[in-house]
Parts: sequence; structure tokens; C-alpha cells
Amino acid sequence: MLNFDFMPVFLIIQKIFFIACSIFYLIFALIVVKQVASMSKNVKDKLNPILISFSFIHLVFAIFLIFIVIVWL
Amino acid sequence: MIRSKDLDTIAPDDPILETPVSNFDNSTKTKTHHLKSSKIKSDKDHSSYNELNEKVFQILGKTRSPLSSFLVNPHVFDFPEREETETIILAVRAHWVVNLKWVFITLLMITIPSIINFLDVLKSLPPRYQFVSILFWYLITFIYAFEKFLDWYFDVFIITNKRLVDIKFNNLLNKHFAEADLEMIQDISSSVKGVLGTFLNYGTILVQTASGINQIVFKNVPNPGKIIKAIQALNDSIQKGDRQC
Repeated sequence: MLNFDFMPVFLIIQKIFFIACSIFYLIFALIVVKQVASMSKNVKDKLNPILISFSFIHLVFAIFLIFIVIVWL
Repeated sequence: MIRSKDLDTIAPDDPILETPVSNFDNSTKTKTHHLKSSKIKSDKDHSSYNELNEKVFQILGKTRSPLSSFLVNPHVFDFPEREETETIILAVRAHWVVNLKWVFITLLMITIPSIINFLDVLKSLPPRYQFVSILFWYLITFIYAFEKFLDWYFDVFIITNKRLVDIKFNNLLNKHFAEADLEMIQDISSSVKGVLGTFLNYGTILVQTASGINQIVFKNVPNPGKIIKAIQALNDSIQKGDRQC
């Protein structure tokens, strides 16, 4: 009887899945930064600098995510 | 020989014997008179413009908070298509109550990891995988709320002293810009629906125009009655021809 442990394979598949998702998420975060900057040019209001900051913080988190998925997992 | 002092009748090679003092005086007088009359006209225009502004601001009232969705005479708010002589009278976003749906969903999404943790769904995964999964989930929650907020924040209806402007961002990748000159407005109607709409006084305004864009729709804007009255006041002033600026 073949005794095969599925857990390592499952974790590898999950890691690949996480890497793919985090890459897509990073692209999405970049689009968000670009769009918030573009929107802020079109509608100028008090909160614009805060929103731009949030979009950049989000981008930093997306980069952090891809980093921990590749290095830490 | 007395020569004509009138510069319109004098020949180019005619010697001028006397300095045309009186003529100069006349032209100065005329110029002064012209300046005075233009100043009077400008003062009159300015006062009628101020009267119109006062009338419109009386209709609209004052903005209580700078974060309000109903910004009367905003000082910071601007858009790049605005002309130098154009004044923003009102900038409106959808009523804050429309945000409650996504705020509720966001709160629900925030609580989901706690529920998962309580049910031990991720127990089979190593702790690092659990951490990354939860981090992923919180980032998705954040971006959901952020995008919804941006949709609300950058979806603006603007009334200037010259036109109506509608700027919309349907999602992060689609921008919509529509404008209609105030004199092109043919008909304005509003509808307030539901218990919340009636209770909180918000609704949809439909502007029919004679320009290329037949309709401009402003959904879920606060105080639709006031907005319509303000647009009508501006439109009337244009029809009467007393709007200057």
C-alpha cells in the first residue's frame, strides 16, 4: 500500500497560489495608486492628500505581502 | 492762417501751429467719462452678481462641515475644467447614508477572521500560512472599503455660475464627465423615494438639456429641492441677462 503524505504537496500548491495572488494584488495596488492620483487631479478637495497617502500605504502592504509570501512561507 | 486742430481733418504734412490743448482735454474727458461709465457698469454688474450669489446662497444655506456631501461655495474644492472666471457655487456628493451598505459589509468582513479562528477552520494549516491568509483577507477588506469610498468621494455634481458638471468614477478604470450650460437647461425634475429618502431628504435629480447630452442624472443627492431652486435662480438670471462674470 502506497503511503503518501499530501500535506507538503498541498502547501506547495498553496504557496504557488499565494504568490500568484500577491503578484496580481501588487498590480492592482499599482493601478489604485495611479487612479487615485489621476482622480485627485480631476477633483481637487481637502481629503486628496490623505487618499493618496492611503493608496501608497496600501502599495507598501502589497509589496510586503509578496515579500513574505516568497521569503517567509 | 488758422489751421484745423482736429486731428481727423488735418493733413499729414500740415504744420501744427498750436498744441491741441483743448483737444487733448476733450479726449481726456472722453476717456475719463468712458472709464467712469465702465466703472459704473462694472459696479452694477458686480452688485447684481453679488445679489444673485446672496439669493442662491440663501436658498442653499451654509455648509456645516467641510466633510459634508453638500458643499456650498467651497473654497478648497476645484476641478481642472473650470474656467478662470467660473465660480463654484455648489459641489454635491451622494448622501452619506448610501455608504452605510458598504460600511456594514466591511464590518462584516473584518469580523470573518475572528469567526474562522473561533471555528478552527484554518487549524490544519501551519501558523505562517494562517497569518498570510488572514493578512490577505484584511488587505482585500481594506481595498473593498477604499474603492467604495473613492467611488463615493470622486462622484461629484457641481453647479457653477455658468454650467452644471457631473464627474463620475464608475469604478477605478472608468471616468465619466458631463456638462451642460445653464442656459441649455430645459427641464429639471427630482424624485425622492423610500422611507430613508423621505426621512433624510435625499433623492435623484434629472436635468433635461438642449445640448448634446440630453440628460444629466444626479443620484441620491441631499436636499434635491434646494438644488433645483438654486439652478432655477441661476437659470432665471441668465434668461434675464443680468448674470455677468
